[in-house]
Amino acid sequence: MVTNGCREASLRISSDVARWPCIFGPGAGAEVSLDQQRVASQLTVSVPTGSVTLSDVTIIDSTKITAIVQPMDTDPAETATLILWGKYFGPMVVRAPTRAGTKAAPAAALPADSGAPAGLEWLGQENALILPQPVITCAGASMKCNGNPISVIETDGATPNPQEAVAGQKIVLTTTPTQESLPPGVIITQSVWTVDGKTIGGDKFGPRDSNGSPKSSTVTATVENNTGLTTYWLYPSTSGTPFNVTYYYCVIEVPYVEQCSSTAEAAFQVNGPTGSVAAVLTLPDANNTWEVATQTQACPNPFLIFGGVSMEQPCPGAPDPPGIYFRNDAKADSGKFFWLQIIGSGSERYIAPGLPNPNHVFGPGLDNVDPYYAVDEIGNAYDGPGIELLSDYTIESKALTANMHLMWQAEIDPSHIPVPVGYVNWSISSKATKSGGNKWTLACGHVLTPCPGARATSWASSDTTGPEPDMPTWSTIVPNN
Amino acid sequence: MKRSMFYLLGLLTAMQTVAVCAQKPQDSGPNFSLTIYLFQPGQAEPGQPTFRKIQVDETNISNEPFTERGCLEFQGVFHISVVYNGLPLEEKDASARKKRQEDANNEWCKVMPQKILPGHSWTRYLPFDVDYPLCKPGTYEVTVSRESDPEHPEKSITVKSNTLTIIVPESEGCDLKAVAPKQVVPRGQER
Repeated sequence: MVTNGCREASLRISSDVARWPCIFGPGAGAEVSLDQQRVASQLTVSVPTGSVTLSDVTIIDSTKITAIVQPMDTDPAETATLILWGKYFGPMVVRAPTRAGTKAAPAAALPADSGAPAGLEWLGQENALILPQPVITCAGASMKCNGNPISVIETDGATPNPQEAVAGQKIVLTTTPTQESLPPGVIITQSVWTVDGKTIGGDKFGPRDSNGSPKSSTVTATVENNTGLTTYWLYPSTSGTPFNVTYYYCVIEVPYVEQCSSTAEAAFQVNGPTGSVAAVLTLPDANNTWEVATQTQACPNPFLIFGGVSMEQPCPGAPDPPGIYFRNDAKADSGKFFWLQIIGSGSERYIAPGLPNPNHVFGPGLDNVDPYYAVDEIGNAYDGPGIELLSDYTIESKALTANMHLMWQAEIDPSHIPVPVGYVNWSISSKATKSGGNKWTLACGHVLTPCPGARATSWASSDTTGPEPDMPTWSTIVPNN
Repeated sequence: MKRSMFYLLGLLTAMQTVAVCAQKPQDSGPNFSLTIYLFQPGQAEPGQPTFRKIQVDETNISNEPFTERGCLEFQGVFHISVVYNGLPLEEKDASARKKRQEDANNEWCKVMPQKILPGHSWTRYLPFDVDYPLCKPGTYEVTVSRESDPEHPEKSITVKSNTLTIIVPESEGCDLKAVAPKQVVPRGQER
């Protein structure tokens, strides 16, 4: 009864103040409060524009708030509507009577346990929306937890049971509530995921070239604002420290303000390979790294080649030994390793007095084929680029910068993608000059005169200080020797 | 830079030489076996076939090491046969494949000959989905074979791999026509 002040209600307005202004506050013996089941954060109270004024709002704790509600004119409306809202529950509309004799709300509109006295009307569940707690469920066919809810509520203090997963595995999670399960008029405005660890949303391959290799490979980011989540972890988690996944959603119920649910939390122990790669080469000593291979009956022109020259080869297209090896130092209990090389840039220069001096520039792009094909019988990759030395020219040079990536795939099926393990960022260059006839000599790239810029550095793909992004991608194929 | 036909002939000669290296003495059978696996790095753009290759492990089943040449997988040494829903499947474009194999003349191949020890294997990846895009949903059975002694057909034995079954679900079906470039008709020239 207004004349008796604002009365206590379990949902929650309490006061024994006799008249306007209706003061909610301990000092006045009144407060707006929430029961423990509706404990909120960011608790606020507001009033519809133009009805009453709200002043001296004080947040006491997550369940209590005090304020002064006062009519805006001398003939106040019979009721004032207060809107309470917080992060973990929807806007509860509590209508307080402002005058004596106000008809109480129908008893049926009050929750059985509300304890609301006559004179206060709680507008019921339609308007007093309590958001369902979000639940995360596994929905990937290859996931061991497929079909099972796996989350806890973050504020409950429970720790989610870690689910087993593997790097590169397609992780599909769904959530409840869905838009369809919410009351009409309540619209999900935000779905917010956080995912520990480095992830991608997927990788896609473009059309094939004649050797069956994709002409392009692109990676998409994980979409973290849908009600569901599809993602791939690129790297394993540390043993005993699973990757956490959290989700909450927000709704708006017109005409009220947006408010958000509690946060569901799940955890994944992600397994994968350990170790990385190593470059094995003679750089920076550069001793015998480059050679000029002389012409043979089968090979009419000499070659400048990064590596040795094998007498078994008709031409030094395949160097023996190659100038650089890439050693797989990674280990995994299962799955398969393979290699991919991305050319950063390369050039082949041909110089002769009085002639056009072509400079064949190539890259960036995939080195010839996917997967990289120059791999020995024990699984180590190698490379030995070269350039044919043509009699028309007097100087020829070759330079190359590339990244050799070691990849790993847990299972050969569509639900597992290859993930990067490590890579070697390497650069080489050399030059040969013609001294007479078609006799060529190294200008650099040997023990006395190392070529400038030769280097090879190994990185774990997960090392964010490295020069390359996590997943190797390309938009063209670079045929090259 | 294009290399001369002389060079190409040299390479072909070398290939033959290596193929001889991969033989066992005659009438003792092939010294290698073939085991194939699916190599499937991931999904493709809509309209494109899923990126698949066939991984071939060539295993030395003899008591002696032998040397095998690289890049054979690009040069037509391995033969692929595919059965789709119980019926032999024609490759997409045999002439294109043959041209591709002829062009695989070591212009870019830098694979050294590898010595394969007894019991050891060497892995290659066959271009596959270019010739067999596997665009229709269904069951595909893939087998790889190669001759043990291609230079002496009368002594050669065809070595066959295991048969790989690939089931393409509806969700992975593709329609190559769907990605054909759209013909742009200049304004005013519409029919």
